[in-house]
Amino acid sequence: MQTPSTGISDEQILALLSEERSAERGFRLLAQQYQERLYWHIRRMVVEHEDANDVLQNCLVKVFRSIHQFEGKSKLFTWLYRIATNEAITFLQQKQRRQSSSIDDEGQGLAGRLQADPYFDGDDLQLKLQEALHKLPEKQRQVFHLRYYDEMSYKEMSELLDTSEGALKASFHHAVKKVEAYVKGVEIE
Amino acid sequence: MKNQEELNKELSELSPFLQELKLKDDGLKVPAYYFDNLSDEVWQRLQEESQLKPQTQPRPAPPAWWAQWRQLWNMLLQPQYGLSLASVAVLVCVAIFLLRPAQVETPLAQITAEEASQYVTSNIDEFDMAMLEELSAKAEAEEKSAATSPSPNDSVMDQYLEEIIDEIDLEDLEDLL
Repeated sequence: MQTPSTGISDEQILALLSEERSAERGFRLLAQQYQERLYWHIRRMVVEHEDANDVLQNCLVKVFRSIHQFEGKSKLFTWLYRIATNEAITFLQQKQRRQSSSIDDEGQGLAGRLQADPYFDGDDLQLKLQEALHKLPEKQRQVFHLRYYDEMSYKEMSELLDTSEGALKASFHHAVKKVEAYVKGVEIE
Repeated sequence: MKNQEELNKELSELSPFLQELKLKDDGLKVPAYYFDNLSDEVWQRLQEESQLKPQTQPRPAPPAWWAQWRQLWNMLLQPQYGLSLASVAVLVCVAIFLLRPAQVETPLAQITAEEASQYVTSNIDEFDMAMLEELSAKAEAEEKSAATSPSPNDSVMDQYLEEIIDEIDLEDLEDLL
């Protein structure tokens, strides 16, 4: 697969990573190639930049250490996405346990945290959109992110999440209706 | 591009509101030059962690002879080879037992009293003294009883002489004298 950022294929990156003497170059190319897409995927899940930075760094460390486990059955990016998604979910679960708060409290807390985040300058509508997303069940939230923001096809999502395309479509439609209702409801008030 | 077109079509049917909202800035920003420095930061972290945890480094590969030895050993531990090996070991033990050289033992009868005495004297510490005293006393008692009782040869001889005397005719005896 030819990559737009570096012009180097996944196979070339993997070959560089497999040799100890060229591992650093391989890692830098891999990061350069995929870091932005992975970052935005993670950032939309965890919302705050500092959290996204921690999760992305953990993700890249894990990718480097376990690159030998990549069997090439799926695209490299699909494998990276899966690791990033799992890291972000683990992070959110740990954060939720630390805060010992309910989902409603998390929604309330999210607005405050976003307003305090120097790397968020969205308007009220965007703030409500983020709140609405955090009120979704975890699976629906994942599907919404992948489809709405990452513009992934249902086929790619199916490969990534091990779920049928029909189930993913249904999940996305439910999520869209819920988010729209929440954001419009707040807007009407 | 194809995915984007499909999504737009889907959103236009599902929620034109969210389709329009998607075109606006979502307000999420990143620090300047964040992506320029990220790979350096992570690579430095990897280096530091690998220095802190040397045990996580893969162990060097064992030498080829060790791998061959392990392979042979594992093969011998398989049931079919293990049974064969055990059978061969049993046969070797039986052969050793049967073919061992016979031990040359000197019969007691061939040992002279002098040799026995010399052996006992040189190995006196190894004998039970109480047992030796008992054996010695027993030997003396047998010797005494043998001295006091008439020997079987003498009594037979006396009886024989008496029988001859009885059989001799007194007249013949006078003629002879």
